[in-house]
Order: sequence, then structure tokens, then C-alpha cells
Amino acid sequence: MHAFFFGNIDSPLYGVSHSPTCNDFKNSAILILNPQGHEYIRSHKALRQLADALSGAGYFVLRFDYQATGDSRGELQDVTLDSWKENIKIAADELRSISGQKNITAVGLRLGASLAILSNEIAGLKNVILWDPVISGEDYIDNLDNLQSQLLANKNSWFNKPLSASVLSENELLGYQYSEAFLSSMKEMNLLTQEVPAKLRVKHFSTFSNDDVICLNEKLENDLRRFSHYEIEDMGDWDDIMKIDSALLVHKITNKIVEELG
Amino acid sequence: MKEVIHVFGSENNLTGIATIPENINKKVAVILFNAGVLHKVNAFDMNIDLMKMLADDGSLVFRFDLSGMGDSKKSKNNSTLNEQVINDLIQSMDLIEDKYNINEFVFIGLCTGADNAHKISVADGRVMGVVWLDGYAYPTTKYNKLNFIRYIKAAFNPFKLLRFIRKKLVAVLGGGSDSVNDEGVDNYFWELPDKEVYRKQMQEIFKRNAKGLYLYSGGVNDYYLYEGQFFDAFKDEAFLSNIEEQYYDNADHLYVIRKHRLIMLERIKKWMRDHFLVE
Repeated sequence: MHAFFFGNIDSPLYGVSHSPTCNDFKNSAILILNPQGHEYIRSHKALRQLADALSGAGYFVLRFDYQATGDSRGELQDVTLDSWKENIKIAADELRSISGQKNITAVGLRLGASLAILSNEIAGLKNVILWDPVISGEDYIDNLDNLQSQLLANKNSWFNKPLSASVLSENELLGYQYSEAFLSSMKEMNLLTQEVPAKLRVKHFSTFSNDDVICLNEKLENDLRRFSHYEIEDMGDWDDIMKIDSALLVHKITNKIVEELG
Repeated sequence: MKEVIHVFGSENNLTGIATIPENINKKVAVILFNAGVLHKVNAFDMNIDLMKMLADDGSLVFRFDLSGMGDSKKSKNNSTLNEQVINDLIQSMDLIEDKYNINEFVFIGLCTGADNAHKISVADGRVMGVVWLDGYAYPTTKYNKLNFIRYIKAAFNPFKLLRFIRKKLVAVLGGGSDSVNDEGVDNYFWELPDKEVYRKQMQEIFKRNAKGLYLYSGGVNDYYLYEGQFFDAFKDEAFLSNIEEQYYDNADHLYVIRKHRLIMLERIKKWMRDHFLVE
């Protein structure tokens, strides 16, 4: 495990590489794409464990933080989804350079999964693993808004009394203040209407099912030559206010991802 | 301002990032680390907000992951978790002293981080300041009275009573937002030291004129109920002259709401300026 900065010198990205720890070297490298906001904080440990397991299976793995998130510099006010798509391209190029592998598989969780689909062409991704992808950006924003309302209503004794929404700053969503441009780009994002090249190989792992998940599966089944879906009972709870500060403790889904990647 | 990644420690297993302002105007370096199982950016990026605020104001800030957490590898030592944490924190100071020639430190910790910040201030004389976010508090006569009134009010309010019973059941049966992680360590809880042991530790710490800032949020209203509770618990102690205490009863434990967080950050910035400016 090796931490380093890469990319633009004025706004470097923070990355952590995991070299293969067995002799069964694989002929592709893996780029892990994080969720955003509290979902990233919740899942950091799970994604590190996944990276460790994949490097143990012979893969070169890179985790990194998008601009203005985690340990990468920048201000959220200055980014849109396009900025993060560009970050993924830079990270994929960096991974090719440090691993010597041409083929990159992206493993994305939540918004990271959506970004894997959105950036597949500019980043030259051949294979994509989706883990509980954010399917509709608008629904995602609505969910954050709903969680924030529950927080303010103080249903779980977060503070001494319920608070009015007037305490919030403009475009504040569950601890993070976004730009209008970012929120617009999120609202426009919808995987159900997103064009996906037929040659892209996608595996979809979900911890829950709903109409959107079913529709996404149908769409990818139709659009792609190689697609598979696995529903696995494991922790997610992305719409549960009680879990917004709880670490994501998963084993089954990460084990299955490692098993499928071989 | 520039940032430098350091891999350090006797086993080279620890990873951290030093943020170095162009003009350092504080005589201490600030060290930030994990709370519970969260990685070094901390809950809702709290350590990043602290880093930006304090580095912009002239402090060298170092944030890092303890052994086995975030981006740091596990230690191969057979020490206890507590010994390991103290050893990691000592090594973070050794690194900053060696690389940046600063030999006095302020630790800022949230919850279990506050617990660990206290422990390192007891263990190492280079710690000249501590900010405890929802750290220790001891019951007082006034606390007991307020707590009693709270229970009486709850008894006459069926919704509050149900919530209270539910909360107690969750505490007994496990689960809820303060769940236990897969290594069996509570995310956000620590064990309150015996009051007399704590009193003696504080007397020792403040013999070297170290400063302390206790900030409490409304999220810990199960053990802290009014501003001044810390001072009341240790009336007439000389070390109180080096302590400041503030209660943000509207804020939640993680300062999720930006305006609350900003107020907390500004309070810490002011405390740093008041005590650690280079003369």
C-alpha cells in the first residue's frame, strides 16, 4: 500500500496503490471509484479491504479521492460531475503508468459506480463493476434531502431539540455544500437514459432491489453484449438515517466481487 | 500552502499528510487522527475542515491514520490496542519534530479521538494543548437535578417515554447508530476514567502549563447537560485556569450542519491564536 499525489500540480489527487501480493499476476488493473459525502466516509474501510483482497488475488489496484473530496485538494464549490469524470481519466492513466497494464477494470460504489459508466469512454474502461449504483441523480439528491430533514427533525436525539431548515446554508446537503452547477449536473444524471457502448462489460452487484434496479438491469441486458447481475444480501442501508455515521461492514458482496474478478 | 505525504513509524506502517502553510505563526503543530473506525478525514470531513481552517491561519497541521486504520498498515507488534495508539501518536510527534523542527503539539480529537488525545497528553510532555470534542464529563449536583427533571418530564410524555425506552433497549441489545464494528470496538464510545485518577492526571498535565479546550455538543446530552458542568465537577482546581469550556447545545455530535461546524472551527481557531501565536 503506497500513498501518493498525482495529476495536476495545482490541484493534486490523493491516491493509494496496492501492488499484487501473490505471483498469480492478472492482465488488467483495478481502479476503485468512491461514493461521495457521508457514503464515502462510511465505506472507506470496506473499499480498502476490497483493494487488499484484490491485490491478494494478483491485481494492481488504485484507490483515489476525487477533486475536493477526502484527501484530494480543491473546493466542492468548484466541481461538477464532469470534473470527476476527468479525474477518473487521469487516475486511469496513472494506473496504466504505474502498473504497466493497459486494461483497466473500474469497481465503483454508489456514485462511483455511476461515474464508472459515465466516464467509461474518456477513461478507456473495458470492464465495469457496479456496486449499488446511484441510478437517478435526482432521486439521490432527494434521498440526501430526506435524510437531512430527518436529521433536523431530531428523531434519533442528534441534538437537544428539532431544528428549523433555516439553519442550513445554501445548497447544503447532509454536511456538504455543493455548487448549483454540481446539483444541476447530478439532477441530469440518469443511468436509465445513459448511452452505454455495447462492448462494455458490466457486472452489477446490488444489496437491494426496486423498480429502478430492475429497469437498469433490463436496459443493460438489452444494450450490452456481456452483462450479469447479482443480488446479494449485505449491508447498504443508503436511505437509513440511523446508518449515516456507521461504517459499512460488508463481507459477502466484496467476497463475491473478488470471486467474480477471479 | 503545500501538502506532503509521510510514511513513518518504526515499522514504516503509518501514513499521514502534513499541510505546511507559507508562513507558520504558531509554536505548536496540530495533530489530527481517527475517531472510531473512520479514516483520517474523519466524520463528514471534519479533519479536512479543521486542517484548512488552521493551516490557513498559520498552523502546521498533520493528519494521519493510526495502525490498521484508513491508509495505515497494521502493526506487527503484540501490544494492546491502547499501547499501540499511544505509540502511534508518539511516533507522529517524532516525525514532525524530525522533519519540521517543531517540538510542541496540540491534539484535537472527537469522542474516542478525545479519549486518545487525553491519553497522549498524559503520556508525553510535548503535548501543550488538547481540544476535546465531546470528551469526558463528570456528573455534578446540577447535572443530576437536570437529569432527574428530564426523566420526570419524559414520564409524562408518552412519545418521549417510548423513545427513552427504545434508546435504553438499543443500548442493552446493541445496534443503532453507535454500532459495534467488526473488530468489536465501539465506533464512538470510551470508558470514563475514575474521577480522582483523571483529576491527578490533569494536575500533572497542567504543571507544564498545557492548555485545554473542552467543546461539547447537544449530541452528548446523555452525560453533559449544561455549560459549566466540567468546571463545576472540578471546582477550585488550579488546572481550570488553563481550561476553557463551551457548550453547543444545538449542534450534533459530528457537527453535520455547516453553520454549527463553522462556529466550532472558529472557536478552535481563536483558542489557537490566544495561546500558541509565535511572539
